[in-house]
Amino acid sequence: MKKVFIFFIFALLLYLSIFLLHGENIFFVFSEPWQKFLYRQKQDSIDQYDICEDLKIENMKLKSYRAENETLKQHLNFSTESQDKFILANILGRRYESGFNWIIINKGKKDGVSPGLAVVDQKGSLVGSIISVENSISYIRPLLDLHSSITADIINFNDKNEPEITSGIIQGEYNLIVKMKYVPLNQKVELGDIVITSGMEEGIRRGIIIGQVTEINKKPNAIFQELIINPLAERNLRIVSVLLPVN
Amino acid sequence: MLSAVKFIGLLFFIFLLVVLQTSWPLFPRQLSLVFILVMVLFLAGFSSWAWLSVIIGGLFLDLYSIFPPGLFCLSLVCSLAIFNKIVRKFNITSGKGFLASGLGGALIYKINILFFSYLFYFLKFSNYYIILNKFYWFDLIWFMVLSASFIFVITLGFKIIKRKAHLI
Repeated sequence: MKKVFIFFIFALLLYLSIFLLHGENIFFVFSEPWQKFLYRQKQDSIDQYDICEDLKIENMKLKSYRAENETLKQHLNFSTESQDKFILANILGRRYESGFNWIIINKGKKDGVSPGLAVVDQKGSLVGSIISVENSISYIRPLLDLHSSITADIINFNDKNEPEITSGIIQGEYNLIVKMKYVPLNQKVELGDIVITSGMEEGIRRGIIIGQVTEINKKPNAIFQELIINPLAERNLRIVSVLLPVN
Repeated sequence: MLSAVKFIGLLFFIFLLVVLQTSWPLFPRQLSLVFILVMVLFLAGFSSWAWLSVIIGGLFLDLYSIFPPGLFCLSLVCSLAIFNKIVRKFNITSGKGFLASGLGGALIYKINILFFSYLFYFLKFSNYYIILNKFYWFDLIWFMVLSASFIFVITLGFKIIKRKAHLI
């Protein structure tokens, strides 16, 4: 009984010190290099026929820096063109629990990140949105997540050259595809149309590219049509930009 | 009783497991290494280690979670407590027993996560709760199969090595 009591007190103190006194930052600082290293393992494949081990490692490092440099340049170019204020962040990992997906990035409350902000890749395509923020890390809900829902528009021009806006809600499915739901049947949509954010959500501006229409599903007695969207954001991301609100 | 060195070793090992689980892209996303470690330790007869792993592992899992602090820790603690009550009635030493324990333990763990996600949501601690749809059921089955396989292989392997070591 005494042992159980000591154990309970130990657990309680540990939790209080970490979650109430923000002791988690110590853990995050310690774990970040490990996470970065592990997260890069998938992308950096080494040619198995290389002879010299040192050169192989050096080459891999250079390739890695080059790729990172290119990505950073692209992020900067995109942000200068769009005049968005942004924060660059490294992806530390991904987690999954009972249908919930979330991506962990190394920027948090102290860097100015807040829930609801849009996250884009180096080309400016939407990756997801911030759902939760800690002091030094944040969590992104990817577009492909089942619980993700973002209002989106498709802009087309009719015969008189007037713009026609088709609105709907973007939702992920199976963690593989993205669907645009609640699109009225009478709206004209074509394959290859570009889907953008409508700016209805607080923190997500209008005009961020989401993807391209690849399939149109129309059922005879349905009120709405359903569009399958191919997200244009890259899958194997390392660096992302968190877009800050303009004001 | 656990010594300080063993405790630090366990702490570091669990830390590595959590980092591996969150950051290694090749890792199956349904698998929970902390849960497997807890089950293996418990079935192999190291129950005090298993209880300590539950607290440390749960804490690390809660650190990288969008759910409120305590969900994973409480789920693991309750799962082990329930599992302990059930397992006490049986003498599990065979391969079949380990497999059944793995399946049962995984089911109890997932039910606990579901229960606490709803509890936290109703108590307004969290904005999210797990939705029971076809994806959830698929995920549950996949988690049970993966976890039970790992628990079965590791525990059986451990028992065989232990038996051989005793014979030598």
